[in-house]
Amino acid sequence: MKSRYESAKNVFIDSIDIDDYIELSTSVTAYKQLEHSMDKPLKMILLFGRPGTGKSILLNRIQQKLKYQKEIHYFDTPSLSEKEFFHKLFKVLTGKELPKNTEVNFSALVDFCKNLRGEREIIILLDEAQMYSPEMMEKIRLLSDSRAVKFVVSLHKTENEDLIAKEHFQSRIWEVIELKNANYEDLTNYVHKKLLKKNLFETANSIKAKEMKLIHTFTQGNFRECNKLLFTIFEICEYYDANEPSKINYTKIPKRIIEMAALKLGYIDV
Amino acid sequence: MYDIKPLEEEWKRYQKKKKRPYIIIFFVLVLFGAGIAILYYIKDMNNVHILPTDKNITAKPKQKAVVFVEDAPLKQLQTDQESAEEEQAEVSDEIVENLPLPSGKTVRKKPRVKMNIITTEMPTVKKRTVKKTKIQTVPHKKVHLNITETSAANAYKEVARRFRETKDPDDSLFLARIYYNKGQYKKAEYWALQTNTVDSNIEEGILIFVKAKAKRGHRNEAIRILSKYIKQTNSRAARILLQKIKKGKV
Repeated sequence: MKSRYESAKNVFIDSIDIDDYIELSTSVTAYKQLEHSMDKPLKMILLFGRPGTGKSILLNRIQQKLKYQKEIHYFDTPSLSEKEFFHKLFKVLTGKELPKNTEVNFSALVDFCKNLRGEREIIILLDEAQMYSPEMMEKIRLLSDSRAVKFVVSLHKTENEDLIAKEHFQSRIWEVIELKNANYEDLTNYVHKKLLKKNLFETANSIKAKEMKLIHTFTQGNFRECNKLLFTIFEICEYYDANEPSKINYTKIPKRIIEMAALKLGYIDV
Repeated sequence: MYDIKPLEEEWKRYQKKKKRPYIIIFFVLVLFGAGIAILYYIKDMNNVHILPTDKNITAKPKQKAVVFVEDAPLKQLQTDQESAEEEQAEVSDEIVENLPLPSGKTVRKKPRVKMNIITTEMPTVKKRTVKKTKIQTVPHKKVHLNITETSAANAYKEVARRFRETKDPDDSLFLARIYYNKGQYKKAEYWALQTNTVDSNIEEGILIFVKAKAKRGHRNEAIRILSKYIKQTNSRAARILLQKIKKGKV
């Protein structure tokens, strides 16, 4: 029989599976803001925030929701080369694969996009945009100037990336949406909703407010860190459940186990 | 998860680390408390030493005090038997005048429990002794003029016994004053003499001695002693007393 903690542990495997999307007050606000921005005649939208604040899942979510209403495409992994990126873009714009041994002429692509103005409105969601080179970003900007292709650029919020945003997009980005770490209430809802989604009601109840505060302190409200921590917590619980059941309290996740998980992940040290 | 045991060990170390500041705070508080206790203790100790030191300070005006007699041995003191008193009185009556003031006089410690002894023996004056303890710094205030006759005898014996142990001039002065008021002038003279021997700067001791002398009929001797004292100190109280003795009012 599968341990209850094994199921709980698997809930927190970090993924951007749209089924795992949890609607929180802050994420709903960000979603609405992004949706509203995409309706405006903007050329580029910047979505930024620290890693693990839910940028990717938000882009994924909006693509899934709007894919039948708008021509919206999600580029989850950044292309390593310009060639690869333009191959992808060619396919999106023309609906055809690029013939073998051929390359996309950038000027021709810009002209093609200009010809699409007024006929089509294509939205490209670019995740992990910090991976693109400055030259590539300059070309993306030129494509967005055609007004036929709109880019939602998702960036990690670091000092350098802020610089990229300032230098390359400041004059062109019309909207900036920032995602922040969750507050205590949102993180509690996130954890509980995630567990309840998998019918792990008892496990959700075993995380009391005091312990949740500790989890929030360790993870600082970062969803990815929270996933990691809870995964480790349930992994330890699973071990005790199988090997030393006397050390585990089924009605409450002990503080000791949370601290052990935090030690393992390096949130605290000796 | 296979590394649970090392993780448990690490967690134990973490717990110790987490508790460390509290332990440090606890020890700091304990040390602080101990420090305060020691300070109080030292303060108490100093208080014990301060009393004699203060006495030295009060005795500082280096006037050459009048000493009337050599110290009579206290062993011979038997205040409860009249016959013995007579012998003592004779000894004490042999006042040798013009003896030099004892310069290297040892300062005796004033025991702080003396009033407690009085209160245990004299339940009727308990309240007064408590008051006395509170205002210990005020000298010569422990005279219990309202002591009842029945309990007084024991109390005086107790004070006399204590004086033999402590050589506290307050005790001898108290007895001198009491006996003088009761009209027992020999005893008053004796205790005034003891007071003067212990501390020759206590004027009241000298005045009681002179008054007791005068009361016992040794007027000329009293006048002579008092005149000499006035010459040395120019004490106003002594001058008034001298006038009274001369007029026969004492």
